[in-house]
Amino acid sequence: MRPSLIRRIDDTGIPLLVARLVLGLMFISMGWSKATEPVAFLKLIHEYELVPASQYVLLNNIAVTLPWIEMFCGVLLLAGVLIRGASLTILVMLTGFTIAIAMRAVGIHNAEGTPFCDIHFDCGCGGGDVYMCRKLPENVGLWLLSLVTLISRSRRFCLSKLFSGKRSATAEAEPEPV
Amino acid sequence: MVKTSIITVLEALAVVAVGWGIGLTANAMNDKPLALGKDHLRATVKVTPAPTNRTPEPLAGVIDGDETATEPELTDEGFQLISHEEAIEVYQGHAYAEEREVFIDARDDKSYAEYHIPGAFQLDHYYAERYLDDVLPACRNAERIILYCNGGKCEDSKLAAGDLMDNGIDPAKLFIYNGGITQWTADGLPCERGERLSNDIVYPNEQG
Repeated sequence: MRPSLIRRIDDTGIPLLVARLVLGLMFISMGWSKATEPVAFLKLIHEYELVPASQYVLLNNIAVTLPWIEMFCGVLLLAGVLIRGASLTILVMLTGFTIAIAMRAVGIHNAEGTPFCDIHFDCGCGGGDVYMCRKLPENVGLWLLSLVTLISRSRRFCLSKLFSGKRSATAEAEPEPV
Repeated sequence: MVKTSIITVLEALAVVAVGWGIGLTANAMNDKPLALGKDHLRATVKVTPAPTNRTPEPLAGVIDGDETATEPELTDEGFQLISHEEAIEVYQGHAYAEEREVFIDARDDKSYAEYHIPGAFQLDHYYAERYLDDVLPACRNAERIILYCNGGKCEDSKLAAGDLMDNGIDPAKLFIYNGGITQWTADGLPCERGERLSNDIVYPNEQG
């Protein structure tokens, strides 16, 4: 039976490659800016009040390790190794980040009456002060890209293909998608 | 399908575990590791009950209006405050030259090196142990200790005050300059670049 159009596009490996490059570079860049300023990142995550201040060991651990987890995911995606694991990790992180940012923006809107698109703050995303009307769509875009990398069956242009011997360029030997 | 899902979740857990390990290793190897067991962001630091009858003043030049911590907030937490004018008087007075009054800059290394109030000691709360050996003797001898950070909502001067109290400094000697370096520079006052007493004087508000 002839594969569907989406499957044929996916088999080219191009959508996965583009998604990997964008996500990988973004997460390495964002992670690095936070990893080099752990104190600034600690203050920012404290402002979200998602973790009580009394749990300071957990807060400190998040501040120190989360940027490196982001960068590690970025490297894995760029290299094309453990793509599904890295994608799922990014998907979960992005979901949490986006909800937290949106909740904080709504909180500011409710407290101060600031029009939503005028609300801006340093969300701890690694890019400094950002407007919510830009950040939230950007996060949704990244979330969709991570969904692409999670469900794609192609392993073209991936290092993992080197480890899998003589398998075909596409998904013949790949497990079924999640 | 189920098997793939389980493998994916296990992969994700492995990615998190390895990333976590890399992060802890990187922190341990850092010149200035963040102490993981320290309560860096203590919720409240009580300096001393210090009722003030001064009218809270607006903080000219301090970031955005909505970013500004109010003086009543600080006094409610028991902090003694010093106004911008009083800070200038201290800077120009004999007591400062004789180190009977000292300024403590509670910002990080980069900010301090860029510029600070001339003669100010540095005490970055997040790495306090690196600075206390220099700062404590001066604070013990001083009659009045004025702490500042960026101004506005910056809490580093309060946190640094807590470090000094933890090390036996009398809370009655501690004062917060709420306008901080932002108000200082906005007023065209001199700053010192680099190390303490480098005498490399700059006027940051005229640089840009």
